[in-house]
Amino acid sequence: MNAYWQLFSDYMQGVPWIRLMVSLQWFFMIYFVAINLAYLILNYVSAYQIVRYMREYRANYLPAGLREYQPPVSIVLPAYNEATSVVSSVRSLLKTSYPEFEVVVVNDGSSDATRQALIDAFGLVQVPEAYRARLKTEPVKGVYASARYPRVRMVDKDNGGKSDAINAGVNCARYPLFCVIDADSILQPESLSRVVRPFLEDRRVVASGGVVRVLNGCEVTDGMLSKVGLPRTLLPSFQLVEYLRAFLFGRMGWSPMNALLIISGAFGVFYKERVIAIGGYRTDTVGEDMDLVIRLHRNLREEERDYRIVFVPDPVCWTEAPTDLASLRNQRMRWQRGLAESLWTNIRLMFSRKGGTPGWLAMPFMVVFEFLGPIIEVVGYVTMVVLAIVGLVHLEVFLVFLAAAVGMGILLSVNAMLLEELSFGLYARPMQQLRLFGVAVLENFGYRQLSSIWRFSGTISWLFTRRKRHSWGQINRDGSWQHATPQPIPETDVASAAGRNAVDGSTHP
Amino acid sequence: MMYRLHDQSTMLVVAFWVAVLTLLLSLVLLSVIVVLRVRAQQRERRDRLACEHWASVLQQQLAGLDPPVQRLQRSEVAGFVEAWNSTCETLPESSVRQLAPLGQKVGLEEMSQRMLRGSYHDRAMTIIALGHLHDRRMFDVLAPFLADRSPIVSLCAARALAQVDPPRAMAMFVPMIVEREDWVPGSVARILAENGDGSAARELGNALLRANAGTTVKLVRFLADIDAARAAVVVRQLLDGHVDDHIISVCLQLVNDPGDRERVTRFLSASRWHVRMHAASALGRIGENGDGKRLEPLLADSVWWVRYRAAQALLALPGMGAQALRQLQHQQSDAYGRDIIAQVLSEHDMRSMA
Repeated sequence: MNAYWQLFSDYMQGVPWIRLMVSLQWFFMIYFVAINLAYLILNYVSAYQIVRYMREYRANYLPAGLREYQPPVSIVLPAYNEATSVVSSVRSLLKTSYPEFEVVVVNDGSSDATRQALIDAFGLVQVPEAYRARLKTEPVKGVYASARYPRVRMVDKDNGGKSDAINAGVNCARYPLFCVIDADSILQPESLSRVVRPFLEDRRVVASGGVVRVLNGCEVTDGMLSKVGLPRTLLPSFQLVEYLRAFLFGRMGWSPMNALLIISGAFGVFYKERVIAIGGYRTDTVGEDMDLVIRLHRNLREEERDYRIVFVPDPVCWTEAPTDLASLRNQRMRWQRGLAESLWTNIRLMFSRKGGTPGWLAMPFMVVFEFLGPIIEVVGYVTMVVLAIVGLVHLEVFLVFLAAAVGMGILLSVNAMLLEELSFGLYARPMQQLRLFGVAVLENFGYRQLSSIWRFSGTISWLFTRRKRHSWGQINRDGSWQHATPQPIPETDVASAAGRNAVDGSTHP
Repeated sequence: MMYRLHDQSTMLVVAFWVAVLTLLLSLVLLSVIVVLRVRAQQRERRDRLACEHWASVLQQQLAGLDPPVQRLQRSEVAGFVEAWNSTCETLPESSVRQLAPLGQKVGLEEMSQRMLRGSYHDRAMTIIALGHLHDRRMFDVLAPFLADRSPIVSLCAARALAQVDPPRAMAMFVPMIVEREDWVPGSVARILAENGDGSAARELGNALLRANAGTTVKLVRFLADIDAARAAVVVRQLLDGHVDDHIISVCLQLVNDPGDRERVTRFLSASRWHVRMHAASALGRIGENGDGKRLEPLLADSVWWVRYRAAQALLALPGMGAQALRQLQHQQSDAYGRDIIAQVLSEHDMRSMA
């Protein structure tokens, strides 16, 4: 057997593509160093920004400004088959401390009792609204309003996907700023004020986003986050560390350069007229949130406008991470597809004459490290395994490379943990920090590789089915945080039902 | 065999050192995080205890018990300042003045010298604390912070100065409103609204005399919040002058005097839609029954917002009411006009039911 194996191994070592694989290892090494260096640089830009931000806003030094000076905001809540949760989502939104706002719920042709649940809970009646279809959408069947809850309106329309629903909501929005929020997101009373603040401070701001955090392990009281905790199981814990990395330096690092390309679909505030001017959300992409932000950059740059798309590091929105592998795989494939679609359809921004930092820095970064990253990573794993099989990689060499990759991964995660500690310090006990560190180590053994494979599949799926209408994604969530609610929930709040299915339309964490 | 990976020693050495350094650095950072966390917990506990202690002392002082106090220890300054600021924020000025002797007794003024040179957080909190002393001697200590680059520190200083010596503070603060683009309007408005001796309105009036078209809009809004009569004079001058549409729009939002009806009516046919919209709204506030005829053409305006505001204004006119508007709806030949009246009437019904 050994003799046969030796013969096979010797033969394979002479095969040209195996030799190519060996030569490619240099490429993988250089790519590995480049990607980690790029993330580290982003990390330090972000750290500087966060420390500066926290210095200014850590405490409420001044008494609250006169409320009349805060611009009114329309909150757009697209809903599809959310009968069990939409009422509690709206109730939760009504508790926000923001002075003037309206909630526009868009029932996107749900096949369950979403529409009726809203009508019953808020006493909605159909009104003769002079609806303006400034953005083209599937037909709107009716607009509903309530005498008891004057802030709540519902747009009932034919099914057209999340983007179509948001566009209908924007058509109906009364106020100059609108905020899109996922039906399963949990806010804090100050969330809206924090994300609107950049609009008050700088009139050039056209869009603003904030940090989305993992809700698993936290406690929610009466529709609002009441206690921050860590997830009990590994899968959401891995995602928590990922979210920390993605938001605290993945987003914050780009904001000072005005090169932020993503504002999460789960929670973002936009200047309505600017969004309408570029045609609203695209309905033929699953990455509608990223696509919108890149198109805003593209259009505003082409028009040579002075504008800002900003990001605040405040944790403003909490969302439940998938707890099973199938849902997580679907989500990641969807995100990767959204990324590919957004980059491809806006590729003209890249290296364009007026592209600025988004076109010359952020887009190339996204293409090289976020779009191509999973492909290179998966090819890297495969070549390593093949080379090991044919005897061109010894165990000790493999271990050294593995240690380098793991070390870099841990360093980036610990940097994000440090940023979190320097800014909001939400994980208050030292034991929680040690647990997060343990998760940051463990995620390198299996989870990261799995995630790369899913993202790789997302890219392949995009390549083979390029045009796909945006539909509502399906993710199983366990809703355990809702069981932790210590106060009784009003009988109309039916979201406490366990094991609900939630729709997921947002692109990236 | 020349391609064997383990022979490519440079790459291996690089990978080895990357692994060692990143793992070491990660462990160092983890230690830093844990140390920071432990220290933060200790600091929070110390400050909380000091804050609770001093909050109770301040309550005793307010109750007239004159509790025995010693000069502040360095470790309790942060807790004291927090208790001091949060207590003072909830009290009327007369009660805050009652606490001032205690502030002097514990040495807040001396302690503040060090804290004003300290971290950003310490500076901001100390500036607020000194403002609550209502001591004119503090003015020169606080004045330099009005020009601080940080909008938070400078606004804290403005508010503190306004508590210490309102006329002098407003004379410095109001001219700076025009220059400081980074000052959040809501906070500026709050500081101006807290002024009780009229100096804010006087200084705003003076500043408006020197203001250009751009800055006028900013200042007249603040003036309208604190002195509507004085603002109305400026608004009239602006509406009669040849200023740009943005200024006209702002002025129309501030009009509240029925005497300005004719002035407002002139803008119902303006070329910019936002001017027509604000004129319609203004006429709804100050108009008379006969103004319905002037608003009716706007029900067929090409812009939704103009039609909407015109319909609302019609409903708000004296003597109009839902029934009259419903009749007007039937007389409309324009479908957009009928639709918008239907919407406004439905909203009116909703409000009535609520």
